[in-house]
Amino acid sequence: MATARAETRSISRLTTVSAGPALFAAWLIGALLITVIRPGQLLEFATIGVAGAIAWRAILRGLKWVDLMVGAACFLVPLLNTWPLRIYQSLADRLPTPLPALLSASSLVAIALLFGVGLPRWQSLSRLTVVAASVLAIGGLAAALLSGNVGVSISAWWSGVLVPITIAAAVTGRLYSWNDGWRVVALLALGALVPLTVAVAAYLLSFGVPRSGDDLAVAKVLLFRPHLIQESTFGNIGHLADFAILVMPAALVGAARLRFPRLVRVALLVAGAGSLIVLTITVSRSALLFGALVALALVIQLTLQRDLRSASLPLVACAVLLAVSLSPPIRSSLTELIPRVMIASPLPAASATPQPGVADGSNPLGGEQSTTVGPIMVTTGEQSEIERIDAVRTGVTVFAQRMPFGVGPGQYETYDPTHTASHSLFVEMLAEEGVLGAVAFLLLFILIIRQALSLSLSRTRADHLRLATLAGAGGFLLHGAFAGAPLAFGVVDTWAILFWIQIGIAGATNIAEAPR
Amino acid sequence: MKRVTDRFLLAALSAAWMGGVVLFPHALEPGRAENDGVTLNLLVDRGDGRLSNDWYTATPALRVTAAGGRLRLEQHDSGLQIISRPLAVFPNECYALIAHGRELAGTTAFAVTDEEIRRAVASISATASQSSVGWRLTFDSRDLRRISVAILGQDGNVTELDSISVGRLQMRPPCS
Repeated sequence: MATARAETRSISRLTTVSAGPALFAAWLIGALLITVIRPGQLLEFATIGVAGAIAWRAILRGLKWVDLMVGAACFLVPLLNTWPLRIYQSLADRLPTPLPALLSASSLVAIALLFGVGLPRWQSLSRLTVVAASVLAIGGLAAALLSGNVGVSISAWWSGVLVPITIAAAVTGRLYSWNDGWRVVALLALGALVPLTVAVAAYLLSFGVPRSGDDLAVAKVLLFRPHLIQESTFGNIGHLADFAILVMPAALVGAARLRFPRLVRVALLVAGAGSLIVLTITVSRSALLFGALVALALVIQLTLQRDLRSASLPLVACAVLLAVSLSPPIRSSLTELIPRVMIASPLPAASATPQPGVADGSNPLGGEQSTTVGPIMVTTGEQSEIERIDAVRTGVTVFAQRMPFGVGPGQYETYDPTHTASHSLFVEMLAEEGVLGAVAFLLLFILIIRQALSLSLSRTRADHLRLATLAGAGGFLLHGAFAGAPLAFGVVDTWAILFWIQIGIAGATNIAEAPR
Repeated sequence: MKRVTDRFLLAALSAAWMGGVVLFPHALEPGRAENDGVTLNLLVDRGDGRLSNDWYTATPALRVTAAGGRLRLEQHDSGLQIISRPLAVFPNECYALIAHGRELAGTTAFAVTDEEIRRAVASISATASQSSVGWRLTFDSRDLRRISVAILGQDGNVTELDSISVGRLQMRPPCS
């Protein structure tokens, strides 16, 4: 018996020791190949190597295989929708049938494997998180089954809703202490270093170092057209800003955590700075605003907990984001965003009914626009705001026509080809997953408020971890509610998995609550 | 031994990262379009999750529909309708823009411009046709390293596009 145990130990040690060099050798071969075939992507691949080496040496090495797989999955999550993945995924789709279908089905195998190697402890997940996730999954399935395009919608539900929730459940269910939670958060931030580095490099290559708000504003005009920074990251500049909001709190709070090795702290600091720079250069006004709010919330909470050292980095982030927001060209466009809200009388007539494939032609091309919701009238003269309000109104109308189940996951664009998205996560979930989608959103919102309130009273060792994850998930959800966010993008998406993992950790009951 | 391994790891990662920084400008030509030409996809404003879109709408008064591998543009405004992502070209070389499709109503123009759509390099008007035809525009890239393709039209125009590509010609200017 003792001999068997010793053999198991030596095999385990052998595999752990040899896995590192094997991974490095694979990376080295890949780097050499990519230098020849696609030299422009070497920076991305090299950054994967640097972040991966830090993750391996400081976090992953020595873990059991189950935790190693979960950790590796966390490191890869931020890379799911980036440049190489998009390119090579499309290559797979060009294979002869039935190979693409078999490859798609491999996500089933991956999830089975994730659960097969060690079932997560479901009872450790927050009840409210489980209820919200279940409601969204059931609502999405019902809407997909009742949609006009069942196959496509089921596929979008599977990849955009169920897979992210399942991965997050598998990850959160493997946490046994706040140290495990920090390990997950650090790996997510290390993975995030890759798209953040490439985004900053693409911006500098195209525009150089911005020296004023005017430089940022000029570059922004070009950024929203086809541009390298979009091509080389997530394909959408707004989604890059959402990604930064998700990553920034965990990176900034984690960088001040002394229990991490110095190398990890430095990497997290770079990831935090990268998120901050991305929020600055994308000049997404709402993302700037919500980024500053999230940083401010971190500063207040950490100061209340008398941890001024941890509060210093979020304070710097908040100051930078506010300084950018208040620079003259950005400030003037921010003030244009604020609509006038007043009591409407009398109530306007019902708006036109959108049908699949038919654009809502009510979008004016100039002047002010008023939108009435019950007795409240919102008026704005800013063009992008007019389009957003129009998109939200169309989203509500789409839901009204397909009550109570919605049009089905991934189907919104078919019903609103003009805007293609409703520019509000809440309205998008309402339109696609119906009443159950809206209920799920509200439950998540309640969960965030509840956790924020409990954090203000709590004094445990898990506080900083909960705070960092709650800030990331809460900032993303709030920003999504007001400006739209890619929670159900129709593919297995980075944002959804990052969101669900963070909300899972923020509400997890299996993290040791030992008092500090 | 451990120290030697660490040094080798550090040297390899540093070399790769520095190499990545130096070679990153090649990312501007991800498809080597300047040499091999490029066939633009027909995705407008939004990728499909696998590919990022090659086209952006330039006016909200445009109805874009894609079906059966064909892009239909119903125009309700005059001027720029859609613009392509910037494409890499060699300066002072000859290229050809080749489009296939149908011009169902009105007369739509294809223009090659600098990447900021400020300077037109060449343009061609699409002839009306109920069946699919090809349009070819040969142009000199002048001093540009990146160009954009723009489609211009007028209220009431209806155009259907099957494909648009830009290819390098084996000749020097003047490109006739």
